Amino acid sequence: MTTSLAPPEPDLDAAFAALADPVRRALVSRLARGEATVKQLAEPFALTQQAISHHVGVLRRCGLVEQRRDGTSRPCRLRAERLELLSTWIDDQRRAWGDRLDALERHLGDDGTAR
Amino acid sequence: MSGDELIARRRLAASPERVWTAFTTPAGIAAFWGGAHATVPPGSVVVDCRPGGEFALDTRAPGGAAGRLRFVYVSVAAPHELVFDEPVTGIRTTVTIRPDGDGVELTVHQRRLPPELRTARAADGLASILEALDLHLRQGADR
Repeated sequence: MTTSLAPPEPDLDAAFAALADPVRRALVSRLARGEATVKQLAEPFALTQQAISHHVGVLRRCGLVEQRRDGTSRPCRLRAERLELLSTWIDDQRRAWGDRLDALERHLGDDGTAR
Repeated sequence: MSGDELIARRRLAASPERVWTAFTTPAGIAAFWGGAHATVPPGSVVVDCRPGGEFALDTRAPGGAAGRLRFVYVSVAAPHELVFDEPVTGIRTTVTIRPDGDGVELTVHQRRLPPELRTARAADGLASILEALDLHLRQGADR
């Protein structure tokens, strides 16, 4: 629980930045349903496999996706534990404000009684 | 997990002016900023409530951990909307105070500041990412 705005882990920066791109978010959503090769990932997009490979590379470098070798194919897999770090950070922020608003409510109540 | 940039929303039985005062005066900020887990010494709070101005405060946690927080106002529209940035983390916070019956509805939005994340689309994106995570966890693919 953080009561202050603790700096996010530096390595979350790259993940947040990677997720600022709509194609990469769509890739993450697709991979949440299961592994897929770059060819399979490219199917719903009007993009070349090279372009998809580039996006997969960005997601790999920030740790959100990993690729394994399976014969000649290289399926991509989502690293959900990395996504959890992002959501934990967001949840911490939300909790801190929940606490703060409880205190604000008490303060406004006290203020009202005093008048 | 609601999964967007919204951090908190609260209905408060107070006028917009009183809530605004709580957010923009040293006494008000000292009263609630620490939440349940830290105290803010009233004397530590400085407020210069205008765009480009700062507000800063000390927090003291029960364990003794102390820190100074600094924020820079981006826009100030009394008594309805306050936007400020936290330069260390790059977090932008928007506080909206909307009259609601005999009270107000207070909304606090926080979002990260890297330019590429300052768009509504990025906020939607964050929601979709967290939905993806939720789906993934529910399917137990990794557990």
